[in-house]
Amino acid sequence: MKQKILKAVDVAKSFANNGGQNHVLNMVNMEVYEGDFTVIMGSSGAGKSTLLYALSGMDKPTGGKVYYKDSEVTGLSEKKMALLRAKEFGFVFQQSHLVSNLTLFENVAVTGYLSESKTAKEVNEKALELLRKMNVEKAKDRLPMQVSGGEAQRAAIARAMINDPGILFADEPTGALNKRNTEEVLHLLTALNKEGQSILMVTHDMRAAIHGNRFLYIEDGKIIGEMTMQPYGEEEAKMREKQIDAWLSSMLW
Amino acid sequence: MKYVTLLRANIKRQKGSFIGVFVLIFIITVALCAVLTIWKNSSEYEEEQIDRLGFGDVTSWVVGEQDEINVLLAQIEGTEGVGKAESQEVLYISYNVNGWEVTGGNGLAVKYPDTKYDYYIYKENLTGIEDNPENLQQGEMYVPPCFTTLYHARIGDKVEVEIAGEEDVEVFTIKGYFEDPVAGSSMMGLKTMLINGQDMERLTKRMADTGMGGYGAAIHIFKEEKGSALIELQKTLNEETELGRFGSFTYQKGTMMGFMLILQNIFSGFFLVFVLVLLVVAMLVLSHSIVSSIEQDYVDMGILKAVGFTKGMLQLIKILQYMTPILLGMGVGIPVSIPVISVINRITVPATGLMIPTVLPADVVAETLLLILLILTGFIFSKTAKIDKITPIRAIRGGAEDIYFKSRFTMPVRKKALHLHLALRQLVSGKKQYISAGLVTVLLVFFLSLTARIDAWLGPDGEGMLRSFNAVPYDMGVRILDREITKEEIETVIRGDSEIEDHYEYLIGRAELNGMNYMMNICENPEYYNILEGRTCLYDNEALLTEFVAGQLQVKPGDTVQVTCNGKTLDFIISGIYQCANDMGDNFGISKEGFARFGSGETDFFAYYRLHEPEKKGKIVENLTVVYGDRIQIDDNVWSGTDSILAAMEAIGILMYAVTVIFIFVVIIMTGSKILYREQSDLGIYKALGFSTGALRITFALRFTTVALIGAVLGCVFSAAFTDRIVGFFLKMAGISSFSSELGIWQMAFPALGVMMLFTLFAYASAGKIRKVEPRNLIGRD
Repeated sequence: MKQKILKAVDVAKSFANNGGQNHVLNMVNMEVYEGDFTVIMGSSGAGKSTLLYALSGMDKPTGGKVYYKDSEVTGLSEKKMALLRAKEFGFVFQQSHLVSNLTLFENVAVTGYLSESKTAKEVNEKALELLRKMNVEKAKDRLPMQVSGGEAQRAAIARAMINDPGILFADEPTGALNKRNTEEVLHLLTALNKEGQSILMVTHDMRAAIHGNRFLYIEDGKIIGEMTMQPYGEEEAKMREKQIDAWLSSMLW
Repeated sequence: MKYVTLLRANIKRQKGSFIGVFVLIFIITVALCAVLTIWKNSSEYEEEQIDRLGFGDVTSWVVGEQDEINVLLAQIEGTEGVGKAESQEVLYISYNVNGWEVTGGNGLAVKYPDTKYDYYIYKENLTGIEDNPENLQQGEMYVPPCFTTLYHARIGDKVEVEIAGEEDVEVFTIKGYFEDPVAGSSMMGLKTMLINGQDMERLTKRMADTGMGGYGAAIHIFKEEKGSALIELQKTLNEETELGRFGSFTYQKGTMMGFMLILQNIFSGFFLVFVLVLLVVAMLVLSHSIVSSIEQDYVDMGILKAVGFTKGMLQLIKILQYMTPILLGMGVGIPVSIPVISVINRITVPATGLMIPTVLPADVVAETLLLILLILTGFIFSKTAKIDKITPIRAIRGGAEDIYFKSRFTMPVRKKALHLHLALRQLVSGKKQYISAGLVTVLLVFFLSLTARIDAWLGPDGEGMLRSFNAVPYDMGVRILDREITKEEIETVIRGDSEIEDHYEYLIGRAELNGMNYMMNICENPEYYNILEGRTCLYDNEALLTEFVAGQLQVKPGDTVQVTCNGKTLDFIISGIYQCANDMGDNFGISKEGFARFGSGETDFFAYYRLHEPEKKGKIVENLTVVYGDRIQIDDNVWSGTDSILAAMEAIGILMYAVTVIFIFVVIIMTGSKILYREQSDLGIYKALGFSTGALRITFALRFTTVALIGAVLGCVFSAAFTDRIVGFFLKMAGISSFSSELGIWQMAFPALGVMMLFTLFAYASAGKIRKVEPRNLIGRD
């Protein structure tokens, strides 16, 4: 029986719009399990990213509660939330969003320095190890603007992993990459998941989605469908794509 | 219309810059108008008043009988080059106000009203001149307003005029204040007091009866219209009349104006430099703001170019965007300066002794502001020239080139003191952004440090300035008036409280030097003279001149001058140049032996003492006064005029700090907001990674702390290197030719730390905007 690592209860999010309210999330209830590669899919404007940000504490929901490992995180102060993000949550954005005046190595290490449990030496060693793993070790001393989009995104994944997060959030992580870089990034995420890393990814790209093993479909701010599969294996990519396609069709995607 | 629409939109979007520029220019305009008005009006008004009152091109104050003075007047009138000469009756008096005793005939009683000499009487609250002033009744007196600061005297207080020593006095009640354009400044030792005509007659008679004398005149000498230079006229008068025999002191109109305007000129000049520094600061801030705003508007400008706007149109809009708050700042600053000038005037009347008109000198103000406007327009034009480089293609492809973080020099980021390391990295990466803040710090710390150096030189009680005014160093002096008292007795009383480190005889007199009348210092121990060049007057035929006297007489060390004293003219060799600002530097010094050559016989010198415990001076003076009363004369080396200077310095210091606080605030608001805007994305990333708002605010503030630290150190270094030269330039106006300042560690650190703290606090406060930066802004919402 897998442990629930993240849970959303009646999560709602609305925005003021021309004097009225635009309800982007409507009473979302969902769970994310430890060790899963969970993929949230949905059409454009369905509320995928908004949900991801509400779950990861990047944004405050206007209603409902979010629990991380059974502790409510919705009501945490800004400081405590920042601490939680630093220690337990890793995040990969659509754009790499590396700090522009830090080298790739520093981008990874600075996040590690926020962890009180590791010494600077340990952080530096881990950062190097992750950059090596992500195949960007050679570019470690370059600034983000001096590397390719793929290298930057791989460094961003290394940064997300530096504090051994309980869960890795990924928001369309391949959305801005070319085909080759997309493949590389997805393989890295899959490899991390195989090592036991819980991942929650938002995507509308089928090539990315097939790397997941649990799928949630969101429409009009509500989770309306769910499907699980065996963990990803490269040889069955075509078969998984068909299976997911069929499921999405059933959701009227 | 297209200009108006875009201009309005730009101003609305960058209202912080708009307000910031407005505030800076407003402050500069108010300060500039005030300084220019006070400087210009005071000199014009002073000259007008001297002329209106009937003072001459040269005025000699003489002591003597009425008949003798009439003879002298006739001699003067008959001298070549003299147009006319008039005599104004005066009575030299010693007086006592609220315990302050002014002896040596340093008071001048003058009759009021006098049809010839129409003194202005001030309104009671010193807000203007009385249209119909009340005449004085017997026992009443009008005094200059400096009595309020020098002696803390108010209307209704009593002034005791000595008839024969302390026991025989006549008491006058202060009825009000009047304007004395000749000696009304608190800087001057001589003080005029107006009394009723009958009182004048009675005092004259009583003082004559007791043998105290004191009757004399101010002889106003007007040169012929096409006559020779005043300096030549003065020499001729000394040579061809008996002026010297009357123990007179003679001043040219320009010298009197110099005495009266000394405070205004020094402080106006000093503050004008400060305003210029502020202008440079404003230009630095403008530069940063313009460059940042062009980068901020890069895409929009590219698009506007794509739809047909030319570089010229866009540059014009940018120029108008900045010229609008500049013009508004000037427009509002000019009228606001008028009440400010009024307030300054009212506060400074007791010190300056003049009711300076508050009407802005339109020509000077207009010319200066126009010049500033032209400079700023040219500056903005040059800064906006880079709009030319914006191409629609580059703008559409993603805006300005990423030029911010190309620095080769980087600072390492470490876990220990992570916030500081990050701050340093951000600082080094974007150093161009902080150059303006750094330069602003250099300038502000430089000026505040310079002010601190002047304060340190002045000392808490103005002793530094007294050192410059005194020819020799001493703690106190005693002159025995009763021959039954011996010097030993006096010294026994002194030793009761403090050992005497040294003592020597000293006297101030007046004599002619190459035909010109000057103050003469006579010292038994000439080694004490403060020598600037050459050596002291070791032999009896040697004299020391101040830099100013040497300049006036066109002589130098090694030259020979003729000194006339006690009717005898002798040659003296100039052995050196010395420092003594007394009489605005119009003095010279000789030794006691040199003075003896004039056969002066029994002269009552002051015995000057240097005490082992100078802090006991007050008690010693009290003891001596109790024991000997008016049988001795005491010089306690305290000058109440220093209070005005110290008060003015304090007021200037407060004003400078206040302006500095506002400027730093505006600088931070303008540069900080641009930096925050530019770093919005990085800040969002940091937040997403787990950095709290507080931590990011600290790193932001630390960048400015670091910049301010570097700027402050440079400011202190520049201040140490240039203060003496800059301040020396202004002090030369007061006859102080040598200025040397030293600053203790704390005094040096205070302005630097203050500016650093302000930068840090304002930067931290301004970084409050980081609260609003949400990591979710990093993505487009789906």
